[in-house]
Amino acid sequence: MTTASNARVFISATHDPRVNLAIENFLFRTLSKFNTSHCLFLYKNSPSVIIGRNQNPWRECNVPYLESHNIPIVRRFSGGGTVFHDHGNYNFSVMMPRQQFDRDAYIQLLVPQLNRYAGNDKLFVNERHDIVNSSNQKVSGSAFKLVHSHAYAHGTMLLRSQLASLSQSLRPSYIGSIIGRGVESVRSPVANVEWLDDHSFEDSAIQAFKAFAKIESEPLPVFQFSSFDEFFNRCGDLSLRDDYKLLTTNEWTFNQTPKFEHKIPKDNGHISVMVDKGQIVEINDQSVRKNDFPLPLPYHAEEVEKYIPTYGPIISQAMKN
Amino acid sequence: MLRSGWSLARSAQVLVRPIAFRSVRLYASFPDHTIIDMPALSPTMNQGNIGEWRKKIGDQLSPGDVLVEIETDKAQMDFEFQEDGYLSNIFLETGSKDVPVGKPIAVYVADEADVEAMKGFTAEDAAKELGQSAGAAPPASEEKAPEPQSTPAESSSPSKESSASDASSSLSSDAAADTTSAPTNRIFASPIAKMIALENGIPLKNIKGSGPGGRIIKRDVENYKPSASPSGPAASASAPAPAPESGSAYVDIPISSMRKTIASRLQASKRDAPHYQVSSVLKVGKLLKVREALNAEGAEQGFKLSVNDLLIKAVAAASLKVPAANSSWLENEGVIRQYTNVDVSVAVATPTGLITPIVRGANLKGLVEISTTIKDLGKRARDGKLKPEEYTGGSVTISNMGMNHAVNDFTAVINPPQSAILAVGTTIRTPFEDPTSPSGVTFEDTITVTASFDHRVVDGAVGGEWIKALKKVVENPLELLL
Repeated sequence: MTTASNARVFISATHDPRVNLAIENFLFRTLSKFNTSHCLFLYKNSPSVIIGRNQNPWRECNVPYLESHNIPIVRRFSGGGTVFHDHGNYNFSVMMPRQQFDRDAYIQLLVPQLNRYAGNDKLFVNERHDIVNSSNQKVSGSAFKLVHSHAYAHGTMLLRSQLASLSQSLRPSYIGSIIGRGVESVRSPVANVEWLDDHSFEDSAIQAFKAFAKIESEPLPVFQFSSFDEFFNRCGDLSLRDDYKLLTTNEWTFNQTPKFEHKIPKDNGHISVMVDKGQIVEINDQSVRKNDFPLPLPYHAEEVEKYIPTYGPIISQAMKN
Repeated sequence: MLRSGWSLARSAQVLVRPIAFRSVRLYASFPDHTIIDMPALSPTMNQGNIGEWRKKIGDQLSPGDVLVEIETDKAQMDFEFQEDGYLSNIFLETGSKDVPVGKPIAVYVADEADVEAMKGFTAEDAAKELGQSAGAAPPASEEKAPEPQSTPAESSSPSKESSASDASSSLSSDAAADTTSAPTNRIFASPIAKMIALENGIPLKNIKGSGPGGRIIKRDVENYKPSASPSGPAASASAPAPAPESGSAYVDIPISSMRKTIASRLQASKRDAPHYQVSSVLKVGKLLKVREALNAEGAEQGFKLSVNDLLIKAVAAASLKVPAANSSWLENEGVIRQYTNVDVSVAVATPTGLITPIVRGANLKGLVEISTTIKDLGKRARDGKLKPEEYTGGSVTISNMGMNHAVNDFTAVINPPQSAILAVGTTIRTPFEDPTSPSGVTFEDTITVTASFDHRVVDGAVGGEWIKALKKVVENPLELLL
């Protein structure tokens, strides 16, 4: 039984991806504390690449390109694959009690709401819990996080995203092969939903949420905020600042990558670069015995070029293509 | 005789040594430990990926601590540990993919001092202990067939300081005496198998081991079905006491973590909550008739209501009328929390101990829903397959010993942080004064119920009101419709 006071909607007008993810995490962690049973969080991010909790950024996106274009890479707290966010992409996060967790339940309610605005080109949910259009192009992806008492399902919706930037950002730059653990993204052809805009999306998301939390006939508190400080001042929780800081660190973004090997091909064989926790820990060249390298060293093109003799430039080149 | 005995020992030694001796080193030098398998964190999970280990080797583990992060099908989850111990081994590193549910991923020990000793214990060792490896075991048993069956058992089972020479000396002295079927005094079983067997009152000597060298392993004990299996669902008498070895004055049963938890919680309950009891004799004639009438439809529609199902609904109704009984004393927060819904914890006796799965929102559920929920929870409780969220929480408890004909009434211990528990006795035909009857009395079915209340939250008169509300609804069951 849910009453209006137990369900809430938050809409962010700030576009820093770390701010939004930190706030999402905060809302999620404090559901019990604020006696919230269901929460909907809507937000947009400025251009950025968001990778899954257990992913390898070098394998999923073009790290050098993103670095040079000031597009941040952010590692989120939920699982799943890599997505490109920009102002043409609307994100939603639905938080619920753990017993109610279902990968599909919310988006099955969202799609009919969205389709009210559709002409012939309707949307539907596929078996991977993605929303696709009638040409089977992906317009929305989702990921999930579960804890003891609650769970969230969050996803994106491509409305008018810059698809060219998306392709470039998500095309990894390395030469050779990256062999490692860590979740690999499942790539699909994507498209924008041209016939939706921010307002129609927001409206649909909220209506679907009301149905999901079973509060159709009751008023629903909707909170909007336009900056991190505005939200922070209202909630006053220092852990929110900590989460934000965490998301900005290389320690979290890069060094949380599961161990992997970058195999760089050369004339007769390959060079093997072992990377653990974002640091190169071993370099092996088949034809030559391993030399002394100043390891561990961050797996970063500039550093590698500067500090590793002979192999540095080769590795750097292989990372940047 | 000695000569042939000696040659027997030597040939046995040569034949058995490659396998059994490794077993001696293998099993004799590791302290008692428990293997942690890949958990099913959701009902449909078959496999998952290992994420960040939040504990490292040597760290202390307490119930509720996150041990490791697990990802499955885009869902990121924390594996919350529910036992006490120290992490001693990690078999699968961060990033390991598609690990099937049930595969050993780590090991913990009870004592911090044992962590060091577990160093050489590998995933293969764990798999062997759980009988999952098909490696050395079959050849060993085939090879030893021509020899007396008990010989390898003898050489591998003795205490930790055994060496090759000890094994051979015991062989030489006992080989002549030991023939195939004579049972030895030592039972050859893994520490986990021994623990489970004792907890469940299973006599190890009746089990045939399927591990290497005929060793009894966890799976053998778990699969053991005694020929005369006790019937009766929640009967706590179903676990026979462990058979003591002949001649000993007592049997030591290791305290399982479940027993430890029950002990500390109930001790704390009695210590902190001032218990008092209120009893009532309920006339259940009408209740039983209602049950019969509803069950007449039940056969077709696939339900069978028990008296307990009806009592759960009655408890929910009474708790709505007297919400003080449906509350928690939360001293740290300075409040008494009165719950809006009635989540009824139902005491179920399992072979390993008492557990209380919860029927959430019993006030909102219909009788059939309550009945099917209980049946499912009860079965999974006895199979040890309840998830923590299914037995933690609840706002009031019912404990029913009605199926035990000897129990007229009893008192139960409150389940903290609840404030009330109802203990239900068995059905008894009771005479009541009846002027209209020729003999002056009529007999009715009655059940004596005894409620225990926490006097910090529920004053005496309030407890009395609750029992009054319960009696009213049980004796006029159609009021449940209101």
